Amino acid sequence: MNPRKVKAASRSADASSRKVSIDLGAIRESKPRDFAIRFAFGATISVIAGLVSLAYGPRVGGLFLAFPAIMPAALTLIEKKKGEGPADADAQGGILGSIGMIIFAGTVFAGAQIAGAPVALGLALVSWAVVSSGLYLLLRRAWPRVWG
Amino acid sequence: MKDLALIAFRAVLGGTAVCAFALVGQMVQPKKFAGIFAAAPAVAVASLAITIATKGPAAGHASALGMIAGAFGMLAYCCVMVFTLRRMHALLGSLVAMPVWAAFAGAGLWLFTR
Repeated sequence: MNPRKVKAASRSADASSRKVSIDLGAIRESKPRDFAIRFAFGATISVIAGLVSLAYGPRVGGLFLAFPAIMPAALTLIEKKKGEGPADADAQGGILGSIGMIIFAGTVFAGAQIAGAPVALGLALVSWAVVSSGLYLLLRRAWPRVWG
Repeated sequence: MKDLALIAFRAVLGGTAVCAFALVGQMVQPKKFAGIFAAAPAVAVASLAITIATKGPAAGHASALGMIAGAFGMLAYCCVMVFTLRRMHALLGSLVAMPVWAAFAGAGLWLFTR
């Protein structure tokens, strides 16, 4: 693989749609099998996190709540269907999602004992969405060659 | 027995949450923005909700501390994976970067618990 070619393909993958938008028709492109694979990976890592929590305590189990189990399956599906460029673009977006994930975990850490589960988790989810999306919009404006 | 039932419930809820986030990721454009949903806290939302509901806020607090370390590992993993992905196929490129997650998450947990 040529890294420069993949990088260029990644840029052109986003060239057709610069604005953040929702395409409901994209749901039709996915097959039930794709979701079955994702479900299996999600369920497996949830079980692993649960078993590790039982054996070594919630702190060690908590590590696995941020394990990138879904990444290999998701990226392989994208590469197969849409090519290397979109897979590369997806991986770059993952960097922003994981920064949001740190904020998510920090919000639950700070709020679980004060606000209770529904409020803490709701607030954490909103924080994840705001931080990740905000970073994307900020980077796209500041660094359009890479994020535009 | 109760613990095993909870783990099974966790699996169903975790798998469903992953699919829900993947669905949103598939619908949104552009692709780099959609990538945010690949690193969504899907499994965490489901697991933490069950942990707090069944074992109390203190267990959720401890789980979240572990998750902060794991999320730092995830960030390091994603940064490295962008480079490995450009040199290998998606499956290999994403698997090769896994030790980076283990190293950063492990180091983070050690720092938080010492």
